[in-house]
Amino acid sequence: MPIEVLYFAELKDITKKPKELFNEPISNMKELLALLFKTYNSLRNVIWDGDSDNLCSNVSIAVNDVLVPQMDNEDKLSLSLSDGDKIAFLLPISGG
Amino acid sequence: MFGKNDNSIISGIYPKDACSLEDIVQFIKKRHSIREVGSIHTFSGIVRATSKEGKPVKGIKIDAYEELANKSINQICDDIKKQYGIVEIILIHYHGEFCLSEDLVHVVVAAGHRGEGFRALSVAVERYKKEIAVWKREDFQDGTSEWIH
Repeated sequence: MPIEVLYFAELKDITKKPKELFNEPISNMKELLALLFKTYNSLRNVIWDGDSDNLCSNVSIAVNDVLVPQMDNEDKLSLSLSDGDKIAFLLPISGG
Repeated sequence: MFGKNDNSIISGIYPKDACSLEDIVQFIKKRHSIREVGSIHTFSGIVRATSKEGKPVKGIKIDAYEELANKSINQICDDIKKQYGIVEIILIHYHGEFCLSEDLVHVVVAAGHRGEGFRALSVAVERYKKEIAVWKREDFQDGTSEWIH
């Protein structure tokens, strides 16, 4: 089964879609990010910190509608993904 | 938002204009538990005409991760209901595109007495601002836009 990625806020503006299925073999978050940045280079400017060469520290991850607990960025990148997983990268929230 | 048989209003995230503040208050007043209520407290977040930096705003867009936002809203409401003297709370957050002064969110707390009600309303508002998965984009009069984080 493909991996589904949900896009919100700036990420939705860049991809111009609310969600997307990726059929490529993806085993962890690092591989997913590489695929996303290859597909949408501008996403890198929003969720990737070039100085630390890692995810921005204020970006949270949700897997299958559950927020992943706070963890080191290195651990975020090595997070294992399974077929059919639904992933979202979440920027800091701002309610009405 | 509305139950199949009883027109109930359930806390959560909905498209704009799904219901009004008055709908929520009237729903609470029609419940049997209203007999325990001595005060109803309401908060409405609306679209302001200027950004925090003073830039003129013409409208706002709210994007939402509905599954996560609903979980957080339910958790906030469950926690508030456990507080002493709180009879009911309904928290409705809208998503979509909004013009100036339009409603973005309603929080309604029904309490036995005003002290508990004011405190619970304040806690609920501060929590939803920090905990629910929604994002706000300000669209400015000069044609630019900015997501607020």
